[in-house]
Amino acid sequence: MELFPILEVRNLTKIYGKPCGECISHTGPIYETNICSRCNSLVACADINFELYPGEILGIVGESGSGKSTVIKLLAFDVEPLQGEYYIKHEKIINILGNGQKNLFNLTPFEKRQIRNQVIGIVYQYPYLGLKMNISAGGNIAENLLVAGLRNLKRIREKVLELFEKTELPIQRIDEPPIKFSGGMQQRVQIAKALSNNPPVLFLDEVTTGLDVSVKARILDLIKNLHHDYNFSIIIVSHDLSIIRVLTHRTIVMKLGRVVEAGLTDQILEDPQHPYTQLLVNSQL
Amino acid sequence: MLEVINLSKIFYIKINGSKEVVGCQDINFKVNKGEFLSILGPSGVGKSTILKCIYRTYIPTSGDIYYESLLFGKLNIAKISDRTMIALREKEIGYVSQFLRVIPRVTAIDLVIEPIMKKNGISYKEARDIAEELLFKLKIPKYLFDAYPSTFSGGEQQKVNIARGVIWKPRVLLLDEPTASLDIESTKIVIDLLMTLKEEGTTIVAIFHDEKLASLVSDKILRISGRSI
Repeated sequence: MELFPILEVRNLTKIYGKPCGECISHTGPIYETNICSRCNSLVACADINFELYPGEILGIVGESGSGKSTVIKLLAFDVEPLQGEYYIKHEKIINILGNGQKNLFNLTPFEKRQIRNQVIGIVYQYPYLGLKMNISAGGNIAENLLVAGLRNLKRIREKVLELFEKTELPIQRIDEPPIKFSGGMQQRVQIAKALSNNPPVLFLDEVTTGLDVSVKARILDLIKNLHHDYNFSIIIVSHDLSIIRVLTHRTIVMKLGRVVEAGLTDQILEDPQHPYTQLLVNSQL
Repeated sequence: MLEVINLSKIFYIKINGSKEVVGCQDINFKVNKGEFLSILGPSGVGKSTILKCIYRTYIPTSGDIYYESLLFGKLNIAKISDRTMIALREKEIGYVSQFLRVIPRVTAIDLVIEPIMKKNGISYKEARDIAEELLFKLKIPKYLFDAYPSTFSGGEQQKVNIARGVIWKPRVLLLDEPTASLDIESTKIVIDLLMTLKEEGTTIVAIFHDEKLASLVSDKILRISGRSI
């Protein structure tokens, strides 16, 4: 029984533009906008709080512009928040930062890079965000291993081959660049890269959006099997409720930068409380 | 073991204006450890709603659901955190829905194996042996074990669903019309399985349509009549 979260987020806020101090109190679902009427800043997300537990799969749903991807970008250190606290409890964090709880947003760029490399794996909707499209697929994965300090070339090659196998990529294409790969295969390379240093936490941002149904199904199977084998904790961002239903334990619903509802996934889908969630659930074909 | 006090569920639907739908109203009952309670009543009277409130797929509007948990001691399911409910679902409280919710590309045997692996952490091989024996008892032909249940008949699907519910011997088992799509012979097998489970200490709350069957298997019967509103 895991009663302590592996990841905690408190009061996470991101505003694009120069905030005037009234932005948060003048935006959100109640005002039906995420643009501050006083200063025109865009409140991408505000006052976001949640926990992720060991082995758990947490879904974040919401339509385009709800701020769900912003949350992931913040947690992956791709953008910086206006304010917020972010904690991960894991032995790998202790190896990097020593003992004691530290707000990960306050770390040095070097420490953040180490955490991105060792503790967090991320798979983006668009493969070009996670991969160098003109460098060999094997090279893309090897890069992460090199950053982690692996220097033995034979060992690196072995590890890359192992990751290819795990993610069901054809080994004979290891030296080809991802630009030559199909969309589904590009996502597999991203997943292999994300898993290269066995991170305890994985972020998946709309990873199957834009893929054919059969390809999507196989990517979901892969994620499910990997989760079963490695039991890492996952945050999966998607607008697709069928993915949320099949994969997640709990779900957070976002609208216009705010969390409007959070609960057990079956409860969110069968007994949604917020009008927006009710609309979302009833929009399913 | 389980005590439901003044449980009501009202759905507030806020799309295109607001609507109220009553799920169930002022439900009271108590089940002791190892007892079998059956819920009887006409369709649409809110029987399933009660089970879904106990399993927390629905958030109760008012009332309390006291449960004596092995892990946490006495708690009110109407008030506990989502994480606590997840733990109860994995370790103590099982739920068998009216229809099998098929998970795409998961075989019948793997569906049945999942809950016991979550509870006991036993190996796949051990879990598979137990699951095969159970499916064999339920007279599911062996060639279907590794097939996808989406192609199964209604009765076969329901048997897989029941196998999934009983394999891990939960402390409390909630069953929504477990025998509705089964023939007489299969019904008998399922009832035998439930009785064995009960003898081993499982507390059972089941919805039935068949009054005769209910009175045959249960220690207590809760009758729900049409709601007044």
